[in-house]
Amino acid sequence: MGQRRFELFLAIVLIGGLVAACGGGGETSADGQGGGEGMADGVVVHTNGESRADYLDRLYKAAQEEGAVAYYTSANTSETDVIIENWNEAYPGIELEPVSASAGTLLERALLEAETGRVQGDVYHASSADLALLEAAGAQDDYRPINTEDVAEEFKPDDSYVFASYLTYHPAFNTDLVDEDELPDDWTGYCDPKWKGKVAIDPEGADWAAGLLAGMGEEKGTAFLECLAANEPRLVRGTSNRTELLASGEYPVMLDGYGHSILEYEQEGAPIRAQRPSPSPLPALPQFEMIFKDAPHPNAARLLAEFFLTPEGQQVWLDRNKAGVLAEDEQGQVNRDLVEGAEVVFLGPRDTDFDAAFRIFNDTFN
Amino acid sequence: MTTPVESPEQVAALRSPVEPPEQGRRRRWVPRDPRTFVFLAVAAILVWEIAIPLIILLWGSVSSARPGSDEFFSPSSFTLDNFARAFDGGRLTGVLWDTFVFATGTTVLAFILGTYLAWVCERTNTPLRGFITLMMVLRLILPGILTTISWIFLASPNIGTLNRWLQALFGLQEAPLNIYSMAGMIWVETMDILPLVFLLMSAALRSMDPSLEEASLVAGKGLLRTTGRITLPLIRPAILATLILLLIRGIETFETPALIGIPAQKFTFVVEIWRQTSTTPTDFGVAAVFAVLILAFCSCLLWLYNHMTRHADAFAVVTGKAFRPRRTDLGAMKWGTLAGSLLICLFSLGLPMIILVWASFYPPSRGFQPITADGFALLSWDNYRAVLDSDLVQRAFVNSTFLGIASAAVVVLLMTVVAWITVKTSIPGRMWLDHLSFAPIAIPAVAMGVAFLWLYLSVPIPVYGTIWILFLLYVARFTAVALRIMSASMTQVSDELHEAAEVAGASWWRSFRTVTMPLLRPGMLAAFIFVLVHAYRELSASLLVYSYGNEPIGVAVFDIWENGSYGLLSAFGILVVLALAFFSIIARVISNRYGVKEEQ
Repeated sequence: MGQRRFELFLAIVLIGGLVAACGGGGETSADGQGGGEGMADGVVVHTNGESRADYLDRLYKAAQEEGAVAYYTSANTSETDVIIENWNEAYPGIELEPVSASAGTLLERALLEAETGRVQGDVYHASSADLALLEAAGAQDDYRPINTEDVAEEFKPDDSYVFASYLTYHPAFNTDLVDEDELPDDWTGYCDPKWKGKVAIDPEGADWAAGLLAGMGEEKGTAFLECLAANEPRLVRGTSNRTELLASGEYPVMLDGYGHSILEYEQEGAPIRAQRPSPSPLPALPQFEMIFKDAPHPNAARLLAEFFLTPEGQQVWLDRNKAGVLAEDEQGQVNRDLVEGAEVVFLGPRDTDFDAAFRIFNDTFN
Repeated sequence: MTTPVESPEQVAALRSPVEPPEQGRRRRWVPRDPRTFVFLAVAAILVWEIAIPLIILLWGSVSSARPGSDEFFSPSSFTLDNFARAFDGGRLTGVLWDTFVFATGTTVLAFILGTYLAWVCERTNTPLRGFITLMMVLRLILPGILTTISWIFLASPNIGTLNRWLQALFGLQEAPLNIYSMAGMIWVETMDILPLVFLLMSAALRSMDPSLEEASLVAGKGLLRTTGRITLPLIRPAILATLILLLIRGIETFETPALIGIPAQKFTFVVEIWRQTSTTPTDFGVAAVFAVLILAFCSCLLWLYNHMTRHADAFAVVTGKAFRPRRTDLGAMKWGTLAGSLLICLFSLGLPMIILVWASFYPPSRGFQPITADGFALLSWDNYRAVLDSDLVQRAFVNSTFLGIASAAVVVLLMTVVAWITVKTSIPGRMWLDHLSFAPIAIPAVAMGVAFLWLYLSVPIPVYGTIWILFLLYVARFTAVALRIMSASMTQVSDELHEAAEVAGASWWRSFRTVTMPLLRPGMLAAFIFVLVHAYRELSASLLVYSYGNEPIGVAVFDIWENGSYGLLSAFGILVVLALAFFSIIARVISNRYGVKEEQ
């Protein structure tokens, strides 16, 4: 029996060890996320009329005491790597812990945290549609950024959002399969039977549709989506996948490519090109850096949001041809050239009816 | 699946499990028995790993509150709204029909082709049988998403290499093949699932008694008639069980319906779950409803499966004796069967690999171009350089290797104990362990991912955001097949040696460790490799719970697919296949070494 008792003891130790290992692993690598519930012990730093540099300095010191910042993003991992590198250079001593997942999963998690009051995230990289839902759930902390001197006039914040970059949706075509002259000047031209089965769109493209509906008005926009649906567009999921297939010659046109991605293919010499000028309206989807209400690291969260409005913070998007918001960057000019001649519709989180767009798009195409 | 039993003693042991002498005097279940503690520990792990996520998923489909919130488990949150939304708009009928056609079509085609290959390799004298088997094992390794993409490159009407070749060969105006169709979906999924059928049916054919077949042949009934009248009915239970497993796989698979089904306007249940959870506004409630519907259907199939394999065991017991199936001499026909087998291997592995290797050398961000003489001038190592340089890829290899080995080790140990409890003991409630361990086979991967997401967002265990949630998920995902392999091995191990050890004074644990486990080594190794390979391939469930820094290979493949080019993806895929082939060879070498030792 002694032997047995020893073995039983051993088994319990082993199982206990396994459980401890699971828990231990969680604690060591989940710092930003496991930082406890509610607000940190320290005081949130507010501006008190001092200079921008002084305020950021105070914020940095307070953030250093917090030691970490949890950043929720559905960006791909290579982008996240660049953000971490630049952040560590700008503000050493504050660990940026990215929490990555698909956009839907991440949103579910953030909403869950907000509704249960167990907030673990500090900053959320949100598109307008995400932000609208997060704001409705009370997840957002109002914060007006101070680092706005270099921001282009048209992008200066007029409310409490940290608006740091945006995506534009463009029609693009395969230059081997179609002449630029053949492309119609307005959206309804793609309803012409000559384009039947020849244009690709995203089956999850409600944001793109929201831009068209906002720009054209609901009635005209819906009519366009319906006539497009009657023309049997190719439904191809994954923006990158859709662009690759366009470059491969699977179809001659796609209507909702990302501007930055098309630019990349153009630069690589692939046989695709954005339609210039794009038909109007041209949907643009702003990306926000939302600070969580009751963030566990409120000062680090503010500092990270401010960081995204500096040239170093913007670098991650500029590297990928994406549009930043600073007035003087060269990439900004490239992106502005890309949209020139088109009426750009920015989809704000408060003034866009994403629910209606989602419903209309799904009813029409799925 | 049949489980051969070697001796009459074993048959007796199976029917009435022998108690070790010390416990034999006590008919009642005695809590101080260490086996009880093992039973309780294993039961606790399985309840936590499988039952609780399942309960959360089921309740999530009828709760209006968000999982994790205080109201979630309150009866007042009960609602049928999620079901109403799921059934709204008549969309469900279309989804149901597409899922049905896709799953049954795949099942039938894969079963015919896979069984043919298994028969050729196990029961005929067709040349190159070893090569065909090797092709099927390698095929098992290729991640599903790459199979799908390779078939888009091969048979898309506009860019498919096969279409180009066929058009040039026969002077056709229109492309003859269209992958974006239900037939295309069924074909691609069949190519992906073929190795599973091959392995299952090979095992069944290997373990059947061929004396009846021989009698039929001697009586002059001919090969076809014998196969139809004798062989197939003999392994009918295994056939039905395989068909059911295929049907479940067809329902829960993700890659082919997502990449080919959506452009073809064919939507399956799993794609619906994905749509509900991946785009804003997300609707996890409706996703749970779809998951529950799949679960309910798969549970019915599972019940049938259990029912049929029970018969299979009885069947094996009745005919069980030492035998070695003999191979049929096909005469000149063997060249015909060889040609047929090689053709299947060509479509299943050869063509996809050729196209992936081509794409992997094609310059990045240029799209895919069919294989042409001109294209060769453009080929370069750029994609391989970029892949090997990528932090994500390096992390993914490390993560998946850790996850694969750790989850395979834990699953195999756990299922060895479960198999032992269910096969060799009479502990009350032991069959619940069997059912619980086997249940995950009916849970679609996406649903399992949703359930784990909810569970670990709700409980204050700091696992979400770490690699451990993937580890826990993989353990739950892969118990079912490991259990079947271990149960089959366990029934083949006679109780005598274990009992002898206990009579000689060894404790239960000592005799289990030093007598039973070594005898189970081949089965454990097979289960280990199965879990390892599938952990490397896992995508659907991982996508929901991974986080930055913990990306497994499946997620890295998806990340590159969503953000990078086909060239990068293909290069990465080729590296994954090479890595897994390497693991398989190492495992084979180890198993051979152990085999030699045991024979000595």
